[in-house]
Amino acid sequence: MLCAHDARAMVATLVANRSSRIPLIYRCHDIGEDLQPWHSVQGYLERYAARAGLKSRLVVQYSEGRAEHFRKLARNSYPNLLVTLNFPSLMLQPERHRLDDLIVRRFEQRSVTYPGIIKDFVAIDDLVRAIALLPKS
Amino acid sequence: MFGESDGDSLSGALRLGAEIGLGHRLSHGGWVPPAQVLNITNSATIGAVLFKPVSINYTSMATASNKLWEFAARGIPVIVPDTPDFRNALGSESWIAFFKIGDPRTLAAGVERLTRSFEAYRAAALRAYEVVRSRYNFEEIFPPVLNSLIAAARSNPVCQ
Repeated sequence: MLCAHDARAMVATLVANRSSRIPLIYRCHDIGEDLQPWHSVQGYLERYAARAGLKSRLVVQYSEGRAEHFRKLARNSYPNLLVTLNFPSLMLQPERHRLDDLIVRRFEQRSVTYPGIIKDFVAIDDLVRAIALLPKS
Repeated sequence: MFGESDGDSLSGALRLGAEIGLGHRLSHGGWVPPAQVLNITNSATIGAVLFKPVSINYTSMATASNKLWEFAARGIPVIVPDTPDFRNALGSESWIAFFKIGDPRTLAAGVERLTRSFEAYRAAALRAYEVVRSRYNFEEIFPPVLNSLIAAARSNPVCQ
């Protein structure tokens, strides 16, 4: 079974899988910008992947809003689309008896943490300015 | 802060921090592998989710964001943008604070609300942990996907 993680991987996987027909899952982790024009590479890939996704066994989207956007891109009701929320595994959780100590430590040494990409679509300046407004503790 | 950057956004944020005198209170740890991110962020008091609602990807993040739910799973309260998507999905959750994009005072106020006392912070942290433990977890929502995967595998001659 093959699993493609985004539109670019989906298109590449479709091409590579053309002759072998291994079942394909399109797990659409990030969905592209709003309806980029056809003449942009991203716009083309998004639309192509959305329409070609009909040939996959399953398309997974993480919200109804994303699913609606995807259907609009493909101009199809997409019967093989499943909305599955991106929740973490219970294995990620610390054991309950360890949590109390963690909470104490986190409260004593306070931090606001942002993990992730820093680009113009991230309100990083708001965070920086907010830190200045918080007490030094 | 951790993670990759386009350069300008990061240097701008660090420059801003220096101009307003944050000094060592602001730091960027660079890009780290995803597995290490979880170790590093485990000591966070508050997690920050900072997406501006500039495209479909970022207006539909409440049930798609890795970082939001990874914070919650470990009992870390989170501040998120006050956008319809986050408000609809998380509006009643006590471990969440909302801020208005472009208004850092609301971000600071949200952090202060979540940390106003140890008791308040502990209650929010435990609530985040329990919400994931009881409902918002992979094991709870994955069976329909698994059934589809099994059906797909069974239809493949290679798997039979």
